[in-house]
Amino acid sequence: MKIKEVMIPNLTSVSADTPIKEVVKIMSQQRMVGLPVVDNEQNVIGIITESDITKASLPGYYKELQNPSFIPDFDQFSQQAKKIAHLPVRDFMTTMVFSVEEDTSRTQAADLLFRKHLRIVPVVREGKLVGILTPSCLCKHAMEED
Amino acid sequence: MNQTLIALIIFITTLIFVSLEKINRTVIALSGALLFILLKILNQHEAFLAIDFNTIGLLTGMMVMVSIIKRTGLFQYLAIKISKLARGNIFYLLFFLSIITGILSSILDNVTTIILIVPITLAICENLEISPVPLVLSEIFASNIGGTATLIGDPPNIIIGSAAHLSFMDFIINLAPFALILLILLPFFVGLFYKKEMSQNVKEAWVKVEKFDEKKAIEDPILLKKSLLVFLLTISVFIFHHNLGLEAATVALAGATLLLLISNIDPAETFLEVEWSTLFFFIGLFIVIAGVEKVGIIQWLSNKIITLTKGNLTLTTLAVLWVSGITCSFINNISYTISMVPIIHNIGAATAFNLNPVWWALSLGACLGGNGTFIAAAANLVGVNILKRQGRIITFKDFFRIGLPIMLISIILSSVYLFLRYLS
Repeated sequence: MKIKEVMIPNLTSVSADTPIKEVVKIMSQQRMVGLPVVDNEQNVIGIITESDITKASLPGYYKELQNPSFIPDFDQFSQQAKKIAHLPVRDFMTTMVFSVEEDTSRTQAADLLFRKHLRIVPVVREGKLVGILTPSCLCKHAMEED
Repeated sequence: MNQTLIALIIFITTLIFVSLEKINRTVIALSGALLFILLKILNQHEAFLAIDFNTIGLLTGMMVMVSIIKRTGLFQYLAIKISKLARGNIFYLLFFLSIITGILSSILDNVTTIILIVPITLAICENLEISPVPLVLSEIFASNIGGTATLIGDPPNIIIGSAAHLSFMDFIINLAPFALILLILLPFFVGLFYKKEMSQNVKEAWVKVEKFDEKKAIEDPILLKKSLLVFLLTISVFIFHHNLGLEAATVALAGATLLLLISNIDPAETFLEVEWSTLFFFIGLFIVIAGVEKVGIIQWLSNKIITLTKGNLTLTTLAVLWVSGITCSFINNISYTISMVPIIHNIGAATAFNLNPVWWALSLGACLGGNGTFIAAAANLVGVNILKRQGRIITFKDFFRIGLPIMLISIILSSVYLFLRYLS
């Protein structure tokens, strides 16, 4: 079985200029953990995930702290989140994207997801976006097939 | 080519590459050491004998103990607690954070101190909406000054203590009071340098810092009690270690083992945090210096120094202080100190001086020289890199503009101190 039979087809994508606020809205509406970023020709140029956005919303010093439990409230997080809300996707997206061709085998795709700890990977036909693949797509099909 | 020339080339190449930091310093030191053995200047037996296991053991013991205590959150607790004393005054904040950094760095290594204190400083500054740069730079300087105070504060002191048989208390009596004076003066100097930043009003925003709950920083209260008990016990034994006939490494390793025993922490986990790379850097350097010593270069250098200083103790002490301070502003103070130890031993043998002032001069020069440039000490690089990750770029020149005067003033004050206390 090929990936094209397992993937979620015709997925929403965003452009590099889309504001982060818009991305978060789409993600929460569609319950996605990430969205592919494409250019005008639907070529995949990056991916933006929940964790990229969370990381950018945390004040810089959080990553340096051994343990931030002494900080009492959410202030700094919301301030920083507001700061990045209108910035474009290109500032936070990952450009080194792993993608799979639609004809890739399930084993190869599962291996990629597992080894690189990916929660979402764009599926392409000649570089152009045709869908996305998540670990649960693979598991669901594996469990349901006869 | 004769052996002396080969040895000189290996030695100088090692020193240059260690200071350039283009290639990992440990790899350089080990390569230099191996060349001495492969070229048969030293045999393996001589090379192994050259390794000062008292230094290595003391470093290892302290690394294990600190890696366990670090988990308790104690240092974060102390930093927040003392910062709150500033009550909305930036200069007081600078003062208290510098003092706690200096005190912590006299018992911890400087890099660990910086890694623990700087992020707390960033959190405070971000809440107050002020630049963290003056505070972080002051903490870097304080870590180098605080390290001077004790036997375990900074690697040069560990090397000197072991080589000259100076005890923990010798350092406390001879260097700690002076280091404390420098530490208290430091924030005033930094405050003057950043006068504008010190005058900002943060009284309103201070409420946010007041809300920091230092008690929540304590992650494991039981481990904290056990660690504090062992740490205080270790320091107490350090105070009497010479009277008890115990070497410093024995005390540190005993403390580390006891803590492992009662904390029930998997040693494999703790040993992952031991800086093996630093330990092998020392090992490599000890062997390189033994090679240089064997071919007579150290002896030659020592004789030159005695001729130049005309066998005068005051002149020798001040020369060692200034040469060390300026050299260690540019080259790694560990390799410098390991090189100087046999030279000073030779000077002692040839002149029958009481060498103690010279050892203190070496310690003050090597440790305080670390403030001269940002490449001079590992703590400087670590601190500057944390700032860089926050988008605050400190250039070589930025650091030099404040670091050099601090280094020069501290070396001038050290000259006065050494002269008044030991030489007049």
